[in-house]
Amino acid sequence: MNRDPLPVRITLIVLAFLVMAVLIGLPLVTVFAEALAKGWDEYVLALIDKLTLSAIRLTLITALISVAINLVFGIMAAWAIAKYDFKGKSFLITLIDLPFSVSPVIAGLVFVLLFGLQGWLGPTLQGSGIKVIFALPGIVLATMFVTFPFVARELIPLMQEQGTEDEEAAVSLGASGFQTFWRVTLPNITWGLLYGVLLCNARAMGEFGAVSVVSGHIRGKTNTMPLYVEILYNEYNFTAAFAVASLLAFLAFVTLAAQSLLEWKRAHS
Amino acid sequence: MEKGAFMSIDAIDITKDFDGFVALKSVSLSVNRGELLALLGPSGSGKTTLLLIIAGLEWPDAGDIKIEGKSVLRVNARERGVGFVFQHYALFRHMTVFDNIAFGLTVRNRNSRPSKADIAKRVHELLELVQIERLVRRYPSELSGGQRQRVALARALAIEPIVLLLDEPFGALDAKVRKELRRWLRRLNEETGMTSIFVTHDQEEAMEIANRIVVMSQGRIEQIGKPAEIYENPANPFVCEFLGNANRIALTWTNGKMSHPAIDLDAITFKPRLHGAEHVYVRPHDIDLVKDAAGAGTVRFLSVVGPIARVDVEVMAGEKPIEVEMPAHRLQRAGLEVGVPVKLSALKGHIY
Amino acid sequence: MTSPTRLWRKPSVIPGFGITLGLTLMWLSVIVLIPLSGLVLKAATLGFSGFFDTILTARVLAALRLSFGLSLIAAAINVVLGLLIAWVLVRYEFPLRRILSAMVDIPFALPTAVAGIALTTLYAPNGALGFLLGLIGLKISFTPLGILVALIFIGLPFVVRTVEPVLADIDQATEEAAACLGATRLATFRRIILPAILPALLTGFALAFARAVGEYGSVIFIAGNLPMVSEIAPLLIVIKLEEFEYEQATAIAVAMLMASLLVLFLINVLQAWGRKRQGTG
Repeated sequence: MNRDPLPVRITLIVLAFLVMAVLIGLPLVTVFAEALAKGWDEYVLALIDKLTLSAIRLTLITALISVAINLVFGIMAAWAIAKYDFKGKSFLITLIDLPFSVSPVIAGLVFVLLFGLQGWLGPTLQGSGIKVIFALPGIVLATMFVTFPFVARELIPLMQEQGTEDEEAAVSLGASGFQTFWRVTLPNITWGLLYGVLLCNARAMGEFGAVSVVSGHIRGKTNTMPLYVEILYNEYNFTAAFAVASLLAFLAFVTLAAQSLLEWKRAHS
Repeated sequence: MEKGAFMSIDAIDITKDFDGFVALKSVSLSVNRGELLALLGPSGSGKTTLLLIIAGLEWPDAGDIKIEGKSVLRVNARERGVGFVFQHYALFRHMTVFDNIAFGLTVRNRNSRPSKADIAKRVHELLELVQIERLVRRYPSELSGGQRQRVALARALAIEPIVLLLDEPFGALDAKVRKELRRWLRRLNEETGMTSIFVTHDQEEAMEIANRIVVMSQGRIEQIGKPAEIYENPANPFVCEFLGNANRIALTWTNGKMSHPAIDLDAITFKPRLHGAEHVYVRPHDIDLVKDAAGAGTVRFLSVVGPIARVDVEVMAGEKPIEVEMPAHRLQRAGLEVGVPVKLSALKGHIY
Repeated sequence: MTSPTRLWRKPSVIPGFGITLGLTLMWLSVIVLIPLSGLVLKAATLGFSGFFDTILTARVLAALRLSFGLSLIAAAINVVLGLLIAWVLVRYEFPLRRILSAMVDIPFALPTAVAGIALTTLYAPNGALGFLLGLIGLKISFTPLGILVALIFIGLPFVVRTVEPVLADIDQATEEAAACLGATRLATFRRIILPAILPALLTGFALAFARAVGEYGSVIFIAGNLPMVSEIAPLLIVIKLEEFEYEQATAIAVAMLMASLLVLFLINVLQAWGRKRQGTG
């Protein structure tokens, strides 16, 4: 493996660490340094603020709904794509991946165009008292749009790799479709499923652009954590902004740690 | 098992093609109650496709499948009640041996599902039958190939299938285990009387355990018959060459008599309508070798595998040598060695 | 019975095709396809000239140019940095290797707003790096350079994670053969390794580029957001929306969407090319 001369190796390794330290390490350190700049008490105070707590709550609710729905959808999509042969399959995969290549801002915009006051459905919904834009449904819709591919994308290759023989065996033994999925397929894809849910959740909680467009930034009502970070930052309340940001950074750490753990488990099972 | 599931199966004019590749061309076949039938053929002959169609895991483009005279084409695999053993076993790897075998019983709906105790009792009966009682708590990854095969069989038998279908059941096993399991399958069939069909590309396997063999090639049935019958009277050159070796010997005809410049063919009888055929097929053990200074053949290669001696004889420079088999003890008595000139005479041959 | 060759799908004994595919298509339509078509329909009401009148204003053009231009540069820089990191991760054993590897994914997992404020503070004139760079007269935060830094940050993992598996797959024997034939290390790299990873590098480039073009959260804090100078296209969409200029917002969005689809198509082509290469090579 190590056929490169030692000086080359050392230079490249040092360079790699330098790049990662400056590009990724320092910003992370900044988050926690700024959050704790005025001491622990200020930090905690910023976190238990009423508006912060309401932002945390909204973020959790949004993530819970959108991850749950995308989970169900992702399993359906992966089942249809991995277990059957049909025309247009690769086109369908491309469509499922589509949200990855759409700017989050556009993801928000499309829902404003649909449900906004000037939108196609806005006035009708307004008439029946349903509020989508500048309210929870809009935030959830935009979040679902950007996190749409995560679960399916994780499951499709995994389920394709496992083939269809186990399912055929289960059916020939008399199992129903649901029994086949629940007892034969699911136990073998749990890791991939958790992995997909994890990534989906991280993105759902951290989404900024799409949610920003549909939320309306109503304090204590339609501010998710990332949006609240922005508001605090723009008010020059840096300590509080970074305090909330540190929670999100922590979430990222947990996600990555769990991801490594899952990968390790998968490699060792 | 005591119930004895005697069911007959009929495949009628089954045709199937996969995107232009014709897997089965109007295949018809009747399987008798209690029979152990082998579908034998090279890969691509359509044998596995036929098995899958009988199991309901694949659909024919035309034709019908009948079990006990009733069409089952519209009965899906789940309800067809066919026990299917997959080539690579398809054991559920996250379940123990016990759970694998019990699966077919536990997925039944409440009304027909046996009690837990009954399921356990049944699984243990099956484990006993396949002789792996001590492995009940293991996972498939902890089993050898032969043990997996037994689990797969027990799992298929657990649902008390009306017929048992096996796809290359012994293909992935080593020689010794394979032999043991073959005998065991034969015995199972004799004891339970369950109609069983297995797919194989190994003629020895088919000959050893099947009551009847169906020889297939390129989506067609070439011949159906008892093992000895097929071996002795192969219906066509394909069957002749596929079941055991055969030397293909080119013929010259003079005055209604066939001959070969180096091989004495006088002992071979043939029907007048086969007059003028181009080749005769002669099995290696149907050729007699005599050391003869004036003989047209030369021994090129000798090998002894246990009781059988194999001799390659060159009869014409540059042509494929003639294969001859004889009991090993005769080799020395005949004074055969590499380089020795010999005279060949065919005792029996097949002309088409 | 009809011949399955004429059917659009192969029959299967596994139940659930209809319901899973049906629900998938329904949900895909509700969440993604119908909303996106709404966008395109809205743009269509502008008409051909209306659309171009909106796009071809100086401010919009400047924003598009900025977004696409900087994204190209950032993706190019990411190719170099990403290759370096992938190379080190695949080829060498060293302490803290796993940590380095885990850090690569941080831009994927870290919410963009967090990255945005962190980078801004770090590179601001009174921030740690901003101060140091200020000494040599370089101003990062609140300039286009700041945007570039943010785009490099979010694009890096795309290149690393695309190149890594391909690099690990290269048969070391080929390299050794080349060395035995007298090739220098550099020549081996240029003539054996680089061609093998080229499709992956380009795919990584395209992925990083696509992500950068649409990026919003990590950029708006550091950008300064001066019209004509440091205003990116996604921000302009937001501004137009806030001004209730829905038509203009839509037109810019559609222009960006088209470009993204083009890149997506390109990525598919590149990946097919890569697969072919790996198959034959």
